[in-house]
Amino acid sequence: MISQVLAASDVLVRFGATTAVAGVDLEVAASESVAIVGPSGSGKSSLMHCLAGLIVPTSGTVHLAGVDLGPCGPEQRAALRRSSVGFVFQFADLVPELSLLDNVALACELIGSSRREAVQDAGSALDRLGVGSLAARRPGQVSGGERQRAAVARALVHRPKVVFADEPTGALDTENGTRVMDQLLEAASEAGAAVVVVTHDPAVARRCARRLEMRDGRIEGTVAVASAP
Amino acid sequence: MIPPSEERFRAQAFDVSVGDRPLRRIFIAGDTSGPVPPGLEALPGPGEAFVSPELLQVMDDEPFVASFVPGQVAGTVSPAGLTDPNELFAYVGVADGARLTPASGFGGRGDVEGSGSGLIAIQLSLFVLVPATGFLVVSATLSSRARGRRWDAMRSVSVPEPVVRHVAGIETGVTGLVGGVLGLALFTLVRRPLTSGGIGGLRWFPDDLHVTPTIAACTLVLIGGTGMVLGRRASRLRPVDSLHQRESRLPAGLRWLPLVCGIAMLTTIGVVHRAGSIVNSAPLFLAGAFLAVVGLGLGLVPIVRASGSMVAARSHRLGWRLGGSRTAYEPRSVVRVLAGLVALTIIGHVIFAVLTDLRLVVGDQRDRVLADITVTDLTTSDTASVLALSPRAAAFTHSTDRGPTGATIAYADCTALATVIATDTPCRAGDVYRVANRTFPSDLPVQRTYEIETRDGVPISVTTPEVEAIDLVGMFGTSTVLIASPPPTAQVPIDRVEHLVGRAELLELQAAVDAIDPSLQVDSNIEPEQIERYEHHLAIARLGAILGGLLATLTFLVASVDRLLERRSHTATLAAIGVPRRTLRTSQIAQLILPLAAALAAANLVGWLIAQGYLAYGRLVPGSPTGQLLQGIGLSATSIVLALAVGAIVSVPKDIVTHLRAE
Repeated sequence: MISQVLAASDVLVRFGATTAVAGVDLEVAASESVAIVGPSGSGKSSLMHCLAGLIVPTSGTVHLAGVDLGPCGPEQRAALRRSSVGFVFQFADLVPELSLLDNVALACELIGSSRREAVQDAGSALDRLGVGSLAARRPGQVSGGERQRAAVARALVHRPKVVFADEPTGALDTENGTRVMDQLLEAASEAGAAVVVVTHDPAVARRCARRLEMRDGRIEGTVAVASAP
Repeated sequence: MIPPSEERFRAQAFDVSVGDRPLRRIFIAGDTSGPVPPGLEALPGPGEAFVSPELLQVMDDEPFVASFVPGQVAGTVSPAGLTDPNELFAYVGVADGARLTPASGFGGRGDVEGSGSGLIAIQLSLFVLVPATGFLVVSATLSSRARGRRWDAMRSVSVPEPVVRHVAGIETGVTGLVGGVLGLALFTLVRRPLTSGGIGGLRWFPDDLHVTPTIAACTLVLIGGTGMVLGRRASRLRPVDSLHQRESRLPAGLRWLPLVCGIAMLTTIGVVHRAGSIVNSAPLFLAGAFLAVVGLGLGLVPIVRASGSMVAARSHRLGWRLGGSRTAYEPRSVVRVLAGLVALTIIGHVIFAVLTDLRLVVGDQRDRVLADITVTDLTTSDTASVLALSPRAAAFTHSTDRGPTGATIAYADCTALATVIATDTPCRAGDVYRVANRTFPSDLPVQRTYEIETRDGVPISVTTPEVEAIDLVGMFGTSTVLIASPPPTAQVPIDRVEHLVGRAELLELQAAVDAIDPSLQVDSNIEPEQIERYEHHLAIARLGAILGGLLATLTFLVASVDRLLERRSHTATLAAIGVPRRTLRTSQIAQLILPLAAALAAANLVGWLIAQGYLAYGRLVPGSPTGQLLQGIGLSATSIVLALAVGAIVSVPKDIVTHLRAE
């Protein structure tokens, strides 16, 4: 039996009169990679935010790591994100005043690791992603690709059940984008984490096991991608 | 305060002497409709006069005095309008007021000629203009990220750089102008309610704060112009991340050096004076104060950075570590936010030190004045009776050295001395002091033994101490040794007794003398106007400190909120990855409190040392401006509490997604 780490049922998200997500059903299994693609304004980012517990759906249910988000308050959802979710944003969004090491260690400390353990785990994660030598530098002192790899390390270092990536290669050149995507999927697979990627880039979407096409807030098609790792 | 000429209020003071007593007459244009001075219920009409009760009595006794007061006496000036019950004073209404000068100046009738207004203007300028400038500077750089994006967008479509800067300048200048107009309108609205309440203990007249077209125009031009300059400056192209990474060209050691040297020099002054040694410390004080202030300017960024780094490295709480890291990462913008409060803290210390000095010179408190009272034809026994009848009057009696130095030996008990000796050491019976002040150091060398004979031939041996701790030069001269001891009755000269009294004591003494012989005259050199002027300065300084404090705090709050709002996308990211709201709130509060505490601690230290050094070198005694320090700490504490409130309210965005998308 395949364990579901993410399940959405008839999710509806409205912002005033605008319907961003219109009755989406979705299930994501552990270690599965799913790409959500679609034109701008199709609702893919809203869906991702809803699945990650950043916004509450107008109606419908979302189960994240087996927990129904509906009854959860903001603090409970934050606790669930700390323990079970990793994020990779388009511009990395690392904390600019912290070193890469501290940025990654932050994710461990948030789940209760001691400072020492957190630093050790963060160093290992950065090493695995090839930016261990830059651990002491701040985000502003490294390239966009290096920054994004550190963001991947932060997203995975605490062994989450799901990693949400919002246009993870959007600010990178093709070479760096490919490298970051490879490392994200590989590291997630090693950690047993599911990956949900929101992207415009067909090349990125093709790297995932499943591709969901959204339009006007609905999932219009699902494609299983053969080339997925 | 007398209203300005725009209100057609004309008044002029004329002083004459009645015998050896001054008579002040204020001639007021009879056709004026200005405000009523204190002590009157209405302005005197043409040909009318209001006189003090004492003057009325003198006019009855000496008819020729009435010729000094033209017109019909319509009433008396109540005590509220007099600085002394025995004052000879009159308001005279004249029909032709055209020749009178337009009245101006601050507070009360004592300043009709505008005396003292220069110092007041300086005080107000320092207290209000410095924080106001800080406010403008900070306001011109608010929302810098958002505005920077706009300028970048203009540049990206090839708008020439001068045009971008011009647009930025106009935008900020116009904003400043709008703010200036609103500020003037608000001021006009609150002017009368504020002044009618008697701000700062002064007798304000609403028209004193009248905003003339010239003032309004100058204010708007100044604000608009400053805004344009600041806006153009803020829009300059900068290298990526230069704000965070740019380091001072000075080596780290040199940045600390002036501050350390300045503090060391000022501390030395205090230590030397506390040890009782006397050195010419004016150059040391001036150099130390200069170095400390310049050093604080140079050292504020490293101080703030160090405070952040220390907390980031040592705290076990994530929120404090995040806040400390942020503080260490971006100290320059924080220092800009704090500049107004830091400047105000130091200015406050210095000005209140000057006022402390002035208070020690003028008198200890409002109703205590230094009087040199000459009682003629009073016998020794009568003097003793007078002193017995006026127990609150502390007597100084003196004898003269019959040796070649001609030194004066004066006596006073500790009760009398405590009111004029500026020293931390409590007065003890038998202590010896040399009379001196800043302008006139003692003529008597230290450790010199004088053999004195009292009037009845008893020899006394007095050795002068090292410390000069008395400021009674005006009364005794600088060749005087003062002994803390009750005066031997036999030694009281029958023709002259100096007393340290307040107004009440003076009246009491007069009553005691009258009881012996009503024909005896008690003269006093009390200078009520000097006291009044000091009180005006103090009131203005307090008012200025309040206004400046409000401005500086407002600047701090506005800039703090702006910084927190500009950081909301980062905060949203942290919230997205699950950082608890409490941790985020702690982090935001720490970003405000850490630099605030570090910078204000440094500013209070520097300001206090300067104040102490000023009092020490100026009065040849260790100053102890504890009050100023407490005020400075009070301001700091208030700011910290406000920072807590701001941090708690603004810190965590409710809508995480909106801020994530904005990024």
